Amino acid sequence: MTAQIAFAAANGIVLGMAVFLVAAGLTLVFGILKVFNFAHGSFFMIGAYIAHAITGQDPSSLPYFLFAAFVAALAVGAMGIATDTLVLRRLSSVANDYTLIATFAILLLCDGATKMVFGQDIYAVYPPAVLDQTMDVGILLTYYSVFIVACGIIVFVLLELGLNRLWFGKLVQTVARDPWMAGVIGLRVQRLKLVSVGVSFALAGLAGGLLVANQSLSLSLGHSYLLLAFNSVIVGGLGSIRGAFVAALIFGLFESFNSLLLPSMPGTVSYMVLIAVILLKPEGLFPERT
Amino acid sequence: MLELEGVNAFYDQSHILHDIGFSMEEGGRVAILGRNGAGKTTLLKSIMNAGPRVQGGIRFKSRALANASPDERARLGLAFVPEDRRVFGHLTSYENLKIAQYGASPEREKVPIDDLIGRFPMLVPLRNRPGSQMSGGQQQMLAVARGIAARPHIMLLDEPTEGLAPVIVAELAHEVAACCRDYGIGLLLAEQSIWFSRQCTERVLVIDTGRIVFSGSWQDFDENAERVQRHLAI
Repeated sequence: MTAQIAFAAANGIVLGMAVFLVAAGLTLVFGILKVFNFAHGSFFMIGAYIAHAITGQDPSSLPYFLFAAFVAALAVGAMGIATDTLVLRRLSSVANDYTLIATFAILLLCDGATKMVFGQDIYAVYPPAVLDQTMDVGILLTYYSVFIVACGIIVFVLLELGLNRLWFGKLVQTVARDPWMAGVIGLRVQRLKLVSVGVSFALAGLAGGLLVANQSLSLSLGHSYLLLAFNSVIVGGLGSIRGAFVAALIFGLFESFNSLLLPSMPGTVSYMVLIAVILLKPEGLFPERT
Repeated sequence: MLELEGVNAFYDQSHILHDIGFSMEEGGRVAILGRNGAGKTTLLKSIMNAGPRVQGGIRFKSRALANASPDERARLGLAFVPEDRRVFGHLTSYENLKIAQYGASPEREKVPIDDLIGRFPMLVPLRNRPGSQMSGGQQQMLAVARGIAARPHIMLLDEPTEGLAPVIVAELAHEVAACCRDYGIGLLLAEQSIWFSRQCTERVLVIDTGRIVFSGSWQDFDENAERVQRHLAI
């Protein structure tokens, strides 16, 4: 039983980091534009397809695998800039309902376009050989799992440092918190938002490229992580990177132990946590300070 | 430097300002007096394009501002200090001042931030404190300093004394007047406090129900006190 618990804990951490990789861009775009982007999962899926188009089923090396993920990030980042310019910015002065409908329409558009370009086949992508091994640390862990955890931690640290230590991050936070005053003191609000949205979408593409080896690549890939990513963003506190990180870990662990202890009721505990947090602390674990 | 001609401003269907016209020379310091709701804030926001829909001509440094966004106006050399302060709570005092220099008019030499903090004694111990952890008076000092940091051609200062203790008002008046003089900053001040306005400016406009009803020096103001007070009394 101890080994099972340890295995569930390790799996939960890996799942949590994978969810965080998806949730990072989602919470960042909410922090900047105050938009809950339903299409985020589709951009994550597109990133995975782009990475697969570069590497094929068997990435020849770790650098090549990472290169494909970065190309996916750049491509999806560019799509994010186009999405903001063509759609989201134009809806900035109307009620949020319209923006939600628009992002749902973008989701359908992305899914349809992916179907046309890549077809409906299901692909398998394997990790590069160096990550496709196991280690025995009392339980069996794959190197790829450790790699995902490391990627999650690196993305978290980079975002935290970038937003809180770098001057550019402070500019972005300023625009996100009070765009009116930011404009009044002369900051180029639209330009800063555009760059930030590009980065947010690029994170979705990067997540797609990094996680593509973890599961079957199909048109439903985006949906598999999106619900847990949404839950993490809500529970963590909308717009909070730190909150999304902690909440993703919590959900990863709960999902994993749920599978171990209540295998016939998958996902139950996660939704109970979500409901409890919404009722008891609706602003989330790490609400934005004003 | 700044010229307004036939300016009308609206919030939706409400017509707030009616045919406003006046001009300011470089380095000029002008107070706008008026009762609550007279249109003082709307006038400053109209100049900044930061709220109301505006018709009429606004020229700054001989350039028509009709289509210029607030950030463009800031970069041209206008700085707006709003009544509600709006300091950035996640940034320290130092960072609040530094970020304002991004909006500085490029041809103007920046005010060294540590010199500026030194001019506001209240801010000296708060150099590294986030804006969200300051009192109202401290935030007001910081908001005014932030307006000065950009070393604008003209600072638009909206009701800076509201809610401040008298001792802070006196300190603020001294610093505003000294900074404008020393850094060559023009001042357009919307205020209800005649005392404060007199300390900081040399000319006065009185506005009532969105119309300018008096314009002149403080001496003219005193000589027409009875007529002017009618528009200021509650």
